[in-house]
Amino acid sequence: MAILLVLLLIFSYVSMNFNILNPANGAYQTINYANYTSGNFNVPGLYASVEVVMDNSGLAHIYAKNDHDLFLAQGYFMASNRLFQMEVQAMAASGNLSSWIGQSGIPSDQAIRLIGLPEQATMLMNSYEKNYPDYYNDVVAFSQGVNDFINASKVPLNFKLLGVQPFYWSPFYTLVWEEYMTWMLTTGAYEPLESALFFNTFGYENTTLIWPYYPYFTENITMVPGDGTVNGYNLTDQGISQQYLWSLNWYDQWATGINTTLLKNLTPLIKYAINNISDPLILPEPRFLENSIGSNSWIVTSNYSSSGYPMLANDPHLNLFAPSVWIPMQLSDPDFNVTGWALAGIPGILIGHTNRTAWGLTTPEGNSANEYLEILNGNKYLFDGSWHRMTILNYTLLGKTYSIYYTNNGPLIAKYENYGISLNWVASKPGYILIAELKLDQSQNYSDMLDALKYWSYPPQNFALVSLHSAGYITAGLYPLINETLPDGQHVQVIGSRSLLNGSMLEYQYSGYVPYKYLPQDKNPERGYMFAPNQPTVGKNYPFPFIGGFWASGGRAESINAFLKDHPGMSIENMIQLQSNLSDYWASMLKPYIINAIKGMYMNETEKTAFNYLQGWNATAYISSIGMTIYWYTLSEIYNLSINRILNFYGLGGIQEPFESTIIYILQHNQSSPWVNGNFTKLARESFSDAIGFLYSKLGSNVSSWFWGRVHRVEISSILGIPALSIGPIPFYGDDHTVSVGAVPFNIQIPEPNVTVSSSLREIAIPGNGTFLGVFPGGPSENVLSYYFSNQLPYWLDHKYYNMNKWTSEVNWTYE
Amino acid sequence: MNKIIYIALSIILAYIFIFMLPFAWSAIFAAIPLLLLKPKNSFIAGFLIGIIAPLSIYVIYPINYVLKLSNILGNIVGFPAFIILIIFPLIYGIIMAISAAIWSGLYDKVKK
Repeated sequence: MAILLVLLLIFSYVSMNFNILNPANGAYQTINYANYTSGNFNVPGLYASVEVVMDNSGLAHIYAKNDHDLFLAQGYFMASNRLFQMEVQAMAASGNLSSWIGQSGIPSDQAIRLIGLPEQATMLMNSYEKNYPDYYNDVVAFSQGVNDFINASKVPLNFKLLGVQPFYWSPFYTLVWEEYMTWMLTTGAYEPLESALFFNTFGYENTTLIWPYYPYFTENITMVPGDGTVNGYNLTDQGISQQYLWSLNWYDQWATGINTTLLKNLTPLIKYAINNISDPLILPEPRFLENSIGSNSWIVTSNYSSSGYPMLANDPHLNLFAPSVWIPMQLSDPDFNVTGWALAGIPGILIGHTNRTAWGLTTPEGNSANEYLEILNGNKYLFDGSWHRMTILNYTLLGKTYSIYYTNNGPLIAKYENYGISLNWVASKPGYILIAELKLDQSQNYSDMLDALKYWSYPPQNFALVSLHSAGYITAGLYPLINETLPDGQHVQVIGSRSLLNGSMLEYQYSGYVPYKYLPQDKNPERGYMFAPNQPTVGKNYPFPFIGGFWASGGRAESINAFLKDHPGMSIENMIQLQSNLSDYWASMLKPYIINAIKGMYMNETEKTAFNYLQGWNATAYISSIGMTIYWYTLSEIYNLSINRILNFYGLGGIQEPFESTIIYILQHNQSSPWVNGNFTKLARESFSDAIGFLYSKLGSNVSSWFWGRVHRVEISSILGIPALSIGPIPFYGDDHTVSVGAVPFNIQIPEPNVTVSSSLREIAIPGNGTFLGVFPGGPSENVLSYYFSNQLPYWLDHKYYNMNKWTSEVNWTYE
Repeated sequence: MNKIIYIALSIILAYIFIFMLPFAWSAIFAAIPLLLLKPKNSFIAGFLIGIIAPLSIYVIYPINYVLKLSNILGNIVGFPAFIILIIFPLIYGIIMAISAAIWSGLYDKVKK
């Protein structure tokens, strides 16, 4: 009997680990919710009934009779499909992840608290409630919808897997997630620090050679056509020569207030700061000059379009998750009729269209945050000649208390002895991007959209805009200005810095923001098109120079520009063709140098075959491309044997490698540069031999089987990082510089690391004739068992689209 | 006849507990009616009821979803899907068998 009792105790104790496998009310219960069935739902708080129709693409059409019900129903629908995602995102964004996942969540929580997201969201929530109660009430209604679902439903699968319970939603969580997305898309948080590290290590000449203020070959492909003049205003009007301004050393003491010798001594502190604000959940390694998150968009004017109506295309590149951050839907009531993609957890539609307008977003890569060097004495900091006491904020995680110190510039993100680095980010003050979004959702013409974007504060975004007859761009958002005194005594207000600024000096404080009228913008350009895939937004004569402009290489911009230039009378088919374009512009420029370098070398049979493939390759990154594989591994080895070796030697391993465009520039001007080991021919030959030898050893002797999709794959990761809940890896096309992007680092490994950042949605819109196409890599549901978990994925992989205006009803619900 | 009633009662309790509570140790209470059987018989009956009752619940779901979810859960913890499917019923059966034997033994002692 005693033995049986002991056995019973042991089995009962052990059985507690298997509750989730209870067939009746464990994980299997969620099978009941895998697919949708039409029906009625009791949703408390509605003023009237709401109809919800799920169409054949998985897009939900929500028809309400008033705004309150519309947002309440949107909250209910989102929660019914994405509750776990919303809540895990909210936990991460509010620095509370450790309360769910324990000690392993602490580093992420610390980074998020240090950046200040929870405090900013609280401040923003209070400000909305006080200053914009109507919009605040929309978020309250949305929250009620989420909580109605929590009250009415069983716990979704992922909560069971993690062993946690849902918490009630509130406007705070919507706003803190909004802040988190803002942070992810903010330029200037890391870049000046990383740029300072490079400058400290290699000096001014090398820094401007490797990281020029404007990436090579991009000066004539800016988003706003022309020299940088916006609404008739430019640098020349201020009596400042652009040639002079851009020839200056903006790392120098006159520009930053910091002696370059002192800056050099701050290298460990700068590295420490980068570590501290790098959320390990987003960035497994601290981020250095990384531009992997980019996006594409372009517009075509009515004169340049075959239909006679303006057109727009947009595909924002984000980390691909299963489920996606996006959820497609239509919101319809007497005030709204908007269709597109909402961010899970946030009311409204962020990217989409009304019947008369459409818009898309890309990131402009100009500083909306800057870092300041603080001079400290105990708990005091020096500012404008006197000492001030720092504000201290305490918070507790898993029973341990931590402190954040604030100067007038913002939180101290690193501190050592008498020096600290503070982060001055525009999001530390309330900004009402939700208002901008909801006003866009109601826009009826181009000027409505421009009016809406006056509320867009951060992160600055390139908004591609089209209405029935107009098309254009504006980079909306707050760009803080710094009033600089140039060495010749002239004054100019600039955006951002290349390095740390002196926080103790009044003259380097923000002096205001770029006026809305002079933000980068243009409408119906004469040449017939504009594009904004993260290249410089404006030319060098822009009246507020982007000193803190850390632009993408411009490879995608070059391809888009070339295509649009070659296709007057753009059709919808051309738009699709361009969005699926797999030409690597830099590869087309770099390949001849590599071919020239290696063509005279002794080659074995495998190398000869590989060389023939490379020579015949048209610089495209199709899954079936063999030349792409040979090019990529050769290029990777070129980087590894030269630039990466130099960076590693100086302790900057992991830093973003220079762009291919920089290599091309170097090869055009000096093939004996130390950056290509003093002899590019020798470097290219060695790299080619190494790459082919490696591919031979891993993929076999049959070169014709070395196709790109064999080594290059996409993975759509679960938000918990659990492979079993992820999608893929799937053979994938593209590379860093193809319009249809599939970025991977320069790694010599088989397969390459999975592509994790790509087009998070694809949108093509022609409001003039009512054409609205869209697709995204997922589905509305987060239930891994559901067809709607990934129903749009095959179309996305094949560059196909759903017609968002023509659909058939699949499921009907009534919320009442 | 009484034995059949005790067994039927135990089966009903097993289903009720499986549906109402996530815990496998609820089998301890589902085994109570089996105390009226002999210890050896109660052990066997408890095991069979305990394993079959949860196994039979899978039939309320489409089998392809059951297999898909078992595969996913198996991938997460590194076990084959079959183990994932069987492990809860097996533990439930063992707990119910041991419990039934204990209840039966106690009953015998009290009776004596």
